[in-house]
Amino acid sequence: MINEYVCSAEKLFFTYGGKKNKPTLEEVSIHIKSGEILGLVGESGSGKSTLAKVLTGLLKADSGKVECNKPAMIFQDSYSALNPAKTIGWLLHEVQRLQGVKDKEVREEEIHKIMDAVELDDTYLMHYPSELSGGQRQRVMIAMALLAKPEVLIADEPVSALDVTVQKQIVSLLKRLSHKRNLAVLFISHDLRTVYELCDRVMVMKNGKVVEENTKDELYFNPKQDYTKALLSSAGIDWE
Amino acid sequence: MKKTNTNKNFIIGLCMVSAVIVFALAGLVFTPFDPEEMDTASKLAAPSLKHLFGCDNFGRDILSRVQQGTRMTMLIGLSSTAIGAVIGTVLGAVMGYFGGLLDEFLMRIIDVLFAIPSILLALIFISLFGTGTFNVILALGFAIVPSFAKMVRTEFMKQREMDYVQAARLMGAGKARILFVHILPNVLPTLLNCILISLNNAVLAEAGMSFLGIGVQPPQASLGRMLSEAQGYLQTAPFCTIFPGIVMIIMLLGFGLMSEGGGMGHAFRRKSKD
Repeated sequence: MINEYVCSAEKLFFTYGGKKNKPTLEEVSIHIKSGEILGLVGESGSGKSTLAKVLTGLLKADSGKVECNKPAMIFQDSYSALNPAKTIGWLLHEVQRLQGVKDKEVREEEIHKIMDAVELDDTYLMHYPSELSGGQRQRVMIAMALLAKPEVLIADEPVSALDVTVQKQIVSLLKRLSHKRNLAVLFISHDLRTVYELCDRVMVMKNGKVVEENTKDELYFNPKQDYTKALLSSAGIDWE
Repeated sequence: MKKTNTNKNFIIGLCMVSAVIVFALAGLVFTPFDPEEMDTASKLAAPSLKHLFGCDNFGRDILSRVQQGTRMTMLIGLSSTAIGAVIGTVLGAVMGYFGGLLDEFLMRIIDVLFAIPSILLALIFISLFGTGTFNVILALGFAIVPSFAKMVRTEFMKQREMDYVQAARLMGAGKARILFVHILPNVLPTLLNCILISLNNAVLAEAGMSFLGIGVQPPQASLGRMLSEAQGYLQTAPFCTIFPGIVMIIMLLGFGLMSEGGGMGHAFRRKSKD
């Protein structure tokens, strides 16, 4: 691990479809401490989701160094991220089976605890993902991620497809879980207000590069880069 | 409304196929006569109380032979479809999920096999390895593999891009587990429909091969064999053709109705709450 961070990446380069194309990530460095919530913002196509996938190991960087301790990921589209042919119970058992937990009773006990933590009733274990609402599915995604006992939780726009009330519930749930479990969270979002509400630090990306990184108050009320200023203005945030 | 009709068709089809299966399996417990016993006195005897379906040109009881023949035709249809489905699914899953050079190489072979009609592929197999029930099953199974492989490949290519597959990879699921525990259940509705269509085709192909004399060999009965043997008596003893023909039509129609409009898929699809 690079110094005290639970997730670190140095000078990452990544290009889709061969090196002749324009890089999606260019010299990106990122560091997240235990218990910290880092917000990652930027317009569509800025490389946020690609960075998330490189950090989790789903994509391999062309160059650079990545060290993430037990990462887990919450995907944007919970409908696509939960296997539609399996019940919620099966999915939660599967996470533990893959962790090597063989005893069914131990798994069931853990599942009960985690369902409680994400504020879902055990009766949902019998349901299929398509029988749940968007917010409930996102809670299941969080439960699955937590069952993997991660040190870093990467949430790729987990609330963008939800209505405002449910968004607030999920955001406060993530905040509680992060504090309670000392969990590092990389929260990717378009919604600058939600990012401010949840995160300790914020990183801004544009065209595959990190343009600014600071504590949330510094970044929101004293932005240095024109792009950050434009981003805040477009979200109706008065930074001046 | 459309879904209700599809489910209705599926149930009607299932009833038809079940009736044929019960009829064929009943022959294991009881047949009015030995299906292979010849009685020259009853040669081409018309249907009567003694011989409900009549007798063929060797004086064999047609009802008993239709029962035996249906079992044989179903055995060939099911076994060849099982061979084709298993090999085709494994090949298609590997090709669709991994892609790359292996996929390119196998796809070219499948394209070549696709260019040859299935029945011709089966004929080539029979001419190389000889006739007999076992070889007919292998020949038809081999001929079915390309269609299964191609269909399953397309489905796996679609599924591998889904986030749930990436989530499984992230959780540490191995490749075989992702292929057959995570993705395969999502391909099942399409696969089951393909199996039903293949069953239909295999039954028809068996009938065709037996009709040509390269399928089931006498004295064994199969529906195709019986139709082949009866062709000379279409005008003088039409019942020799009618009864095996009716059973075959019920079976094929049943499979057709079951597969129509993805009827099997409905059992696996659920409504979204959103």
